[in-house]
Amino acid sequence: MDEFRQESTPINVYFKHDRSKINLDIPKIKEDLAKIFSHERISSELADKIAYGKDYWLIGTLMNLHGQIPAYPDIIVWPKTTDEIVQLVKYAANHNPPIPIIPYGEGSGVVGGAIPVFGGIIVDMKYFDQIEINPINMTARIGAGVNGKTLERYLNAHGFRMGHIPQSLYTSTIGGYFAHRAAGQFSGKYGKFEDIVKSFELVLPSGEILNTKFYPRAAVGPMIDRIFLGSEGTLGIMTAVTCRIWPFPEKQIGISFVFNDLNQSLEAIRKIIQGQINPAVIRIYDKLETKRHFGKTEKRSKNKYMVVFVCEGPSELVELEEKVVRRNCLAQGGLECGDGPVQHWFDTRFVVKESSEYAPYGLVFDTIEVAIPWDRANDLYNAVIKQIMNVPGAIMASGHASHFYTSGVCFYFTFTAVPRENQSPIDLYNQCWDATCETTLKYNGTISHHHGIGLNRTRWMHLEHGTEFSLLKKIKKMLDPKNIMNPGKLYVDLTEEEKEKIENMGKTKLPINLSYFVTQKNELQSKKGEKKHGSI
Amino acid sequence: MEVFKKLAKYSWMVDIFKKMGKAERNNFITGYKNRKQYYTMEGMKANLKDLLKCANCPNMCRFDCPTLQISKRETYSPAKKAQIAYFLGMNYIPFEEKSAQNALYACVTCDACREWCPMDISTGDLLVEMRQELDQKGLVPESVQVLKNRANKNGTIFEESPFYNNSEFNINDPDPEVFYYIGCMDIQNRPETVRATIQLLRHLKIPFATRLDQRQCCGGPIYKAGFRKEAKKISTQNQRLLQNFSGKTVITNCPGCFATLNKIYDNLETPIKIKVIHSIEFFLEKIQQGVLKLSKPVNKTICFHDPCLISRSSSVKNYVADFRELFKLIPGIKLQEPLLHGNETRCCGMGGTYAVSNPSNALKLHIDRFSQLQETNSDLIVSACSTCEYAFKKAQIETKSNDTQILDFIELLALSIDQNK
Repeated sequence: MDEFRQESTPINVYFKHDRSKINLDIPKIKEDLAKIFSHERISSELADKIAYGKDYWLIGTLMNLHGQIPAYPDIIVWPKTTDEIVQLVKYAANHNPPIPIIPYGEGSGVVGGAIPVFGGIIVDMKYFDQIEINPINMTARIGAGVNGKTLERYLNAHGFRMGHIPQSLYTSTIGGYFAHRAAGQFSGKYGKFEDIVKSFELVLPSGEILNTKFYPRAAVGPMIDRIFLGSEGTLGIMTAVTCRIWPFPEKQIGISFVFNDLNQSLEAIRKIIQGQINPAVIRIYDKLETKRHFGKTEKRSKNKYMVVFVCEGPSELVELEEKVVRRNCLAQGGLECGDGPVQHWFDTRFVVKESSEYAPYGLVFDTIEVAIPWDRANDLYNAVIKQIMNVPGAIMASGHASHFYTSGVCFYFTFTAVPRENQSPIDLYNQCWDATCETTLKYNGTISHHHGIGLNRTRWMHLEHGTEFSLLKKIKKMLDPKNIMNPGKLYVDLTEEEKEKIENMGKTKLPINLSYFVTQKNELQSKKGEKKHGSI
Repeated sequence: MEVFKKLAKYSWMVDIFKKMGKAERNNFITGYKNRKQYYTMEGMKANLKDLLKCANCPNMCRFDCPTLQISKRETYSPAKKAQIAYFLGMNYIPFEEKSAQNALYACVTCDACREWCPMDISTGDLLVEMRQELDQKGLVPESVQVLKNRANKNGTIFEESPFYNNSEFNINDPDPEVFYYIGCMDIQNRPETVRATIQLLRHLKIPFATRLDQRQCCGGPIYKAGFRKEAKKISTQNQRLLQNFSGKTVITNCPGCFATLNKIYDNLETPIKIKVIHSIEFFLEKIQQGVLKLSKPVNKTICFHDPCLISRSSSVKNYVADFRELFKLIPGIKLQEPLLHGNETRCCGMGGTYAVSNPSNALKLHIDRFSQLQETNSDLIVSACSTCEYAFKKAQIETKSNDTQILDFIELLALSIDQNK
């Protein structure tokens, strides 16, 4: 057993996680934990350690091929009540040395967020599986361990919809959505997870229980609750949330268009969104992804950018949304392709098999989602594709845009690369990631739209946040002085060598292409003579 | 033609391949050629290629995996079970590891995973193959080993065989048209269903045979437990018995027997040439032909539990629509579907020998599914599988909720015929 562990750790990524500093007397700890949990809810069995040692980060998938695991937990526990979690965190913090605690939902994160890099105790939240609907307030109280599909299926059967439909719906939990500030495919209408959450219960690292108040809105000083959304298990363990829900939509329609270039499609959508129309789903696919996803089903998509829309809700509203979508897309040169491509998207949106099929070929691949304001969206897309393809070994880079705001857009890039002889696939993987994040930061974009930070993006945290980062670290230190909650993620201090490498990335800000501003300025000037329609 | 279709689907990949630099192309080809190293192990018959695919999937089927839902153990999610099985198969962990063995048996083989799988993989089928590897090494857990001993003793999964010469169900009419293949669970735990079937066959004046004096178990549970050799011994004898039958059709009420005779016997290289159908198919056809008349109103609301083995998209035959059609034809029946029904049904907990390897969790599954059915507030809970019905009766006793009657569809049919017509 010990030999096996030696062989399989540590992970060769940017940070070296020195487990040897945390020497734990596992039998003694298990004995202590038996005072909190019944014996069948405590495990240090090998099969469990293997299962909880990997999430859906590609590094883990590549390691799987060699019978390796990114990192082993020492113990797994399955709490059933908030009180058990309170006792657990108090025990872990008071233990000498303090024991890492890693909350776990369903392990589908793609950035290594649930990997127990220093070992410790995995807290599987699956027993927190209650759903309670309040049809008057249109809310649901949902346990942290409730699976997304189970929830939506339950709500649908009772005539409701939460509308949080990430591609991981089938394999992720409410706790994970909260931890990573998740976004679903239908977020144009239903919002991102931070919009959906109204209140929650969370056990702080001190063992105190934070129960945020449920209200329609409040102006009662700074909103502390926002700090915990997206904290990825580093500031406490969320046990239940109250989320807003909606009536099951009366009508749903799909409509699609193809465009000759990306800018046209972006412009069409910008005008739709800024014109106060919010289709539930909007997705722009670049040429490569259009060919990949729609090449067979829509002949007119050849060499074009496919855009699909789904509008849903009350019939009158859906009809209006469809009308405005059509008007704007046609005005930007779009060619209408009906609902065929949308149906195809519905049929294939949960087909996730690339890792399974292509990992044994020795390929390195992943997806990276970033966010960028409208005025440099097109330029960022082009720059990222170019920079990924400049990485020696990269054979494919493509992208689609899947979330839109009045102020900007989320791009979702996909890359594939082939390692050279004797090259570590992990090095190549990191180079492709560096190329994307470096470019995004140069354009003053945001390095993650909804997958979160985890292990993979931690190295860019200080560049992403700037001065906010030291404040974040202070908050972490204050709430979790012994650093028991999911250590090794988000707040890691870089070594000098690492710092130099990472900081070089952000030093030279690229000159932003001003063509966009010039166009806008001209547009504004041409409108100067127009009659104004009143003012506020 | 298929090749061209496949090529068209992957033309975007061909484009990428064409644009690759020489070095990348060579590395790509080398990687492709070396792919088998990740799923090849000398002497291993289990399908390591599909196990690896399953292990590297983000678990897209997990929300409908009954053993995960009830155990709350990530290790028992389909992709993680596949990961453990893959690690065993590739010798990354030893077969002696008990926790890994337990993972192989934490599956009811209900194929709910395959229902959602983009790669059309049945994790259960893969785990059964790995259980067979365990058996080869003499490492099958003791709790399951009992099935092997019984199979060797009397060809069934019971301590005493329910098949014997002077059984009331050993009926062998002259010139039988139908072989009524009675499941051992039918006789052992739901003999009412056997009586109802016999009543219907008699009503239709169809000569039939049960040959209980020569019968054994179908071998399905033995096979799924990992005992391939014993299952093959049974299937060979059953093959001979059915081949000697002069009639045209074999009917069975047991979805387990149905799936085993139709599918597992092919895997065991003892295929059955005569047509084997579930009794729903046989009797529905008789009703639709007007031969079997349903004239007595039942006047009940019913909730139907679809048995996994005849309800999935991947089942040998999916009878979901047939049952709905049948309930429309029985006078006075109002069907109320549970949340999980049709091809998205939930296993009762008896499949894949789970009740033998994990009895306490199996009981939790019986109760869980039973309560889902009870939520419909129907007068009757109806199924088409004695094993499922047995599980619900156990749940009923355990939860002390004796107010809902549990019936088989065949009993419902018997209730709605007028014996005098």
